[in-house]
Amino acid sequence: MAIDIAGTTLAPTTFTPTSGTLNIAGSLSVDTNLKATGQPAFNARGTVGSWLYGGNFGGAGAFREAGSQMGWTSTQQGAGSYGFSNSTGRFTAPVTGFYFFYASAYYYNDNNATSNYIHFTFSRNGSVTWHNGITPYNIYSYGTVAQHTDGITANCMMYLSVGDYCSVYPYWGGGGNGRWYSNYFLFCGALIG
Amino acid sequence: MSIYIGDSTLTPTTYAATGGSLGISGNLTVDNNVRIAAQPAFNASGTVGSWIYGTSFGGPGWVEINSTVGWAVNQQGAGSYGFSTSTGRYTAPVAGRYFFHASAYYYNDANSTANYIHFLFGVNGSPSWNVGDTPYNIYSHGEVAGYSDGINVSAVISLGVGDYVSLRPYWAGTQGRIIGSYTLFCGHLIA
Repeated sequence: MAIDIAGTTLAPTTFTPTSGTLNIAGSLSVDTNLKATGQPAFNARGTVGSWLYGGNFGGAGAFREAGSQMGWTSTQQGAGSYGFSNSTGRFTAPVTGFYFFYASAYYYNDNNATSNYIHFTFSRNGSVTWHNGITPYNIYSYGTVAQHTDGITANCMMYLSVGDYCSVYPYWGGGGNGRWYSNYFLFCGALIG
Repeated sequence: MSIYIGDSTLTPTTYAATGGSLGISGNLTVDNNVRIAAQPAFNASGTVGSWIYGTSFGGPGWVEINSTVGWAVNQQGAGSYGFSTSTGRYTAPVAGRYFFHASAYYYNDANSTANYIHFLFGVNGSPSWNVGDTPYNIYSHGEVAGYSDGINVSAVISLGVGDYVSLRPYWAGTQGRIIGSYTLFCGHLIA
């Protein structure tokens, strides 16, 4: 038997709150698992099927967003009217909170120059100084001989308000001879809480 | 209209559980999203914008990335624990499994193989937290003098309330260094 509570319906297996949100005043503990089918989460990659240099994104020697040049394709849930955009490569938060993001790339350095390094970083709203006002630098392929470069990855926890966006926004070393393969690119994220 | 069930209060949009905790006997499925405003989570970075050698932390050897980097943090759900900027340690406010990630910007001054680093977490000051052993990685062993590729580490770690996790690498040699302000250390409670 269902109970109606001022428009809210409590059934033996379902609680349907007014306006679709149930707030728990306190902690919620669950003995088995918690499945949230509308939890914001996405997976994206490029589709161009070719190598892309820093020059393809506007030029080496600068921070450049991994934007439409990637030919993004994605799967996602919980996006609402925001989420991941294949036309921009940006994930815009539909819910305020902490998000986990991860990205990886298949990178090749064309020559032995140290200048073909890459800082493989994220941005928040187009700014790479999103991390307590600082850029959380990493560095790959500095001084790597001409060849593939080991494990280009980046992880982070980023706090976003509704409408804020996160994108992959690396610094391409000024040598101009670093490149990644669009289809092998991974960019994913999820709302943590 | 509210309904009182024992000492719990059920209103159209809020369930205030007795004792502040609602237990679900079984699974909980949610058609939309879950926002947990006090889920333990933190994001920390150093603030010292200069190179810091392992020796500045007390190395060579297993030494903690401590206040020498000038930690700054934003966090939620810390209660009376959480991340301490004075120690660089994250202390669990809730028992459970946490995800942690850290990355650093590392430079090796010399071509010697002596200047490698095991970039690892410590749990309560021990590197052997993973089923009784140390989950080694190794960076910069035998690399020519220069920047080292992608120094990072991630892990799921089970913690009790009051247990702490810190960045506690093994610094080999005396010529490896990081930039304090480029150091990232973050984590959150999974379940």
